[in-house]
Amino acid sequence: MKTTSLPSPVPTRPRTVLIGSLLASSATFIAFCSLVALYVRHRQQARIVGQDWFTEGSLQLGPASMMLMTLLLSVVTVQWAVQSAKTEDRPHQFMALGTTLLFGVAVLNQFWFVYQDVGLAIDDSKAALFFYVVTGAFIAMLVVAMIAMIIATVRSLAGTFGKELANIVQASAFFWHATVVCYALVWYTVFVTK
Amino acid sequence: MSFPSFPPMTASSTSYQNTMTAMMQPASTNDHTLIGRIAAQGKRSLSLRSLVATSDHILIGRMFIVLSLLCAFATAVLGVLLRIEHIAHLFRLRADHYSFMVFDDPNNWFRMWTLYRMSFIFLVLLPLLIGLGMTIIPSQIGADVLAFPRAALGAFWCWLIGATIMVVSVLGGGGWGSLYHVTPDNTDAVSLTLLGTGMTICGLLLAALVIATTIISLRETGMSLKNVPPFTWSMLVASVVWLTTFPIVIANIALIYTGLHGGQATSFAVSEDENIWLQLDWITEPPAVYALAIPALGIILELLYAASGRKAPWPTFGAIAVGLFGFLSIGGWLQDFFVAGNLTADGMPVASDPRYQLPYVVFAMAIMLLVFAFSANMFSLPRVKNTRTASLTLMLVAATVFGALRVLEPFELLESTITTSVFNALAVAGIIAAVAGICHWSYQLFGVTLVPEKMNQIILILLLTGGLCLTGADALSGVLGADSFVLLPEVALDVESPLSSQVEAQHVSSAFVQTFDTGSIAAFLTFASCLGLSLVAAGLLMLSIEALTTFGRTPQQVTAHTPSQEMASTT
Repeated sequence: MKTTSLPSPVPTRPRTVLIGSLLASSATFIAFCSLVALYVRHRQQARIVGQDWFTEGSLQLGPASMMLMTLLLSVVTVQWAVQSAKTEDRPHQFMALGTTLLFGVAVLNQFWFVYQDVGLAIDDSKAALFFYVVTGAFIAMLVVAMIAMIIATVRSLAGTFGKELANIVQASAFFWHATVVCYALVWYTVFVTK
Repeated sequence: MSFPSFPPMTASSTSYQNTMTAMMQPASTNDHTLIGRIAAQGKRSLSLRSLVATSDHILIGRMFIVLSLLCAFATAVLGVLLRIEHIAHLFRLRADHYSFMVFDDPNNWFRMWTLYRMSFIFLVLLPLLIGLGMTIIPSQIGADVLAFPRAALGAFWCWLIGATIMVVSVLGGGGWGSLYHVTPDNTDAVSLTLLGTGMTICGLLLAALVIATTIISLRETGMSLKNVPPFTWSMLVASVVWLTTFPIVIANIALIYTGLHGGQATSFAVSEDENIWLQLDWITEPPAVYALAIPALGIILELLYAASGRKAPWPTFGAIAVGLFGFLSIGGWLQDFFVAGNLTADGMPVASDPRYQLPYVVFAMAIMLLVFAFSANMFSLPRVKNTRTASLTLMLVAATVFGALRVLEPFELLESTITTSVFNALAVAGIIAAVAGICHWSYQLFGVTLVPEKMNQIILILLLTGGLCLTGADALSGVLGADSFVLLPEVALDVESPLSSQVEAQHVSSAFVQTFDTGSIAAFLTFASCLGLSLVAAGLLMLSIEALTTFGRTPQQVTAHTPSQEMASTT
């Protein structure tokens, strides 16, 4: 039988959870970009009239860069989890998801340190208000990404395997990547260019 | 002889044929087709539990539609009250009497003025079109269910609770800012309004996400995006545009909310003004406001296809026009905060820059081309569908043409009431689109012909006449020099107000009075717009009553009205 006479394969549709995650990530990313744009614009205005945005030395780059490194490492572990879910490699999947969650908790811990170190009150200045809103929005996004990861882990622990779980892990991973990109924006606009 | 509305012959021919077959047969309890499900749903009876816990996309869509129609009527009545206040004010100017007739003080007037706009967007147009989409789209693309049915239900309840909080808090002294400082007395109420607005938008965004995901990933095998029916395509474009526009509002709301509670003044406008509304009003102005009318284009195409009984000569052309319309309506970049006070290299305001004006002209051209491309079909359409399509097209053309005129430099209408005219034209166009859609797909929605043809005609005539009266009067006021922020200014000036709006109000007042010479023409035009809005409200009331009555029908009544029986009765 000639292969050309075989019926064409059934076209596979994009995965529902992944598409939903992609749209949700895009919407969240746009909201975040909007906040960062407002931050930059206000900072620009303050500088045009000769005001200091943050006082010299109030924001340290070291801890912020450490958080970026942690999140970049988590990108690798997230992809590790995705690959493990695809190949149904259970031990590696648990390890990868657990490590990713650990990195997430580490970033939250580092943010706590940054807030203590900065020592700004939210009503100190406009810069302080924007600082807390932008970083607070990121923390909220990170917490949502971690919850998605926990759901994927729980589904895995409950015995869900195969394509469905791989889709869930992949969708969670996509949102995680969007979170890391958002932090890269925060790192550059808030901590590097101050 | 008149026939009930059937789904249009579209690319989804298999699902269409299935639906048609199902419609021509009496419904039975174990029938899994569309009508069967409606009948079965009816047999279960609409208990509170079924409303709270349902995952049936048809029921969720119906809940969205019925509630948003009621909100539409209430909003139109609010608009009429605002216009009555304005007329009363214009007449009292001559007598030097500045008290308010309907609203107690200028701040109340301002709150209702903003509520009217926000309500039309978030409580009327978006939920109405989303409800229509949730109900119709699965059957158009051959899907049994929505992508995330529980999320769809969650979206409805999030929207409903948010909307309730929003309206109650505005009535309780909140709102989107104040003509004066947001004082500690009303900070909580304003915060509650912001919270309600955020919840409402989150619910609508979740619903848009569900619709977009359904269209992308649950289409029938073999149906590419190129082949989806026009309404589905327009809802996909609209959902994506909403998902890229409204998160910006949520970001602004988060910032304002934190600012209110953080003790730092919420100054977001370039003028360091504390008016929260200045940071949010871009969603009521072009181009962002055009995003509300994207599904209307899809409905126009559906009606034309269905009435002519054949596909359009250039289906891709229609899809491109809808896509272009959607792309150009992304308006987050046009916040006052980003553009006000910005000058071009020539020292001109950004708003006068031809590059800024181009999208609006393209808007008008895209719609004109769309109308031109399908006008040949229109003359051969049956009367009712022709009225629907013509009225819808007319309102959309009015909105886009006024939108283009608004920004063209020689006319200098950017800050005039022509902005209000564009908003109102799009609001009425969206409502007419929804009415046309509800009548066209009433079997999928309610299992019966919702509105008899004669009443349908009356409702459409009321909406069209009212819409044209409303938008025409506002546009003419703008051409004659009335400012878009037509406040009741002298009253506001009596009160100590730190807001630049007060300066604006003073300017508006003098311009308004001078231009119209003691307000006689202004009073006439405002009366015309009030009359127009009253007609719209009357049309909405008739439709709301019909929808509400049908929503509460007993199962026997629903199953008794099978399409075959309807056809037999009309033959």
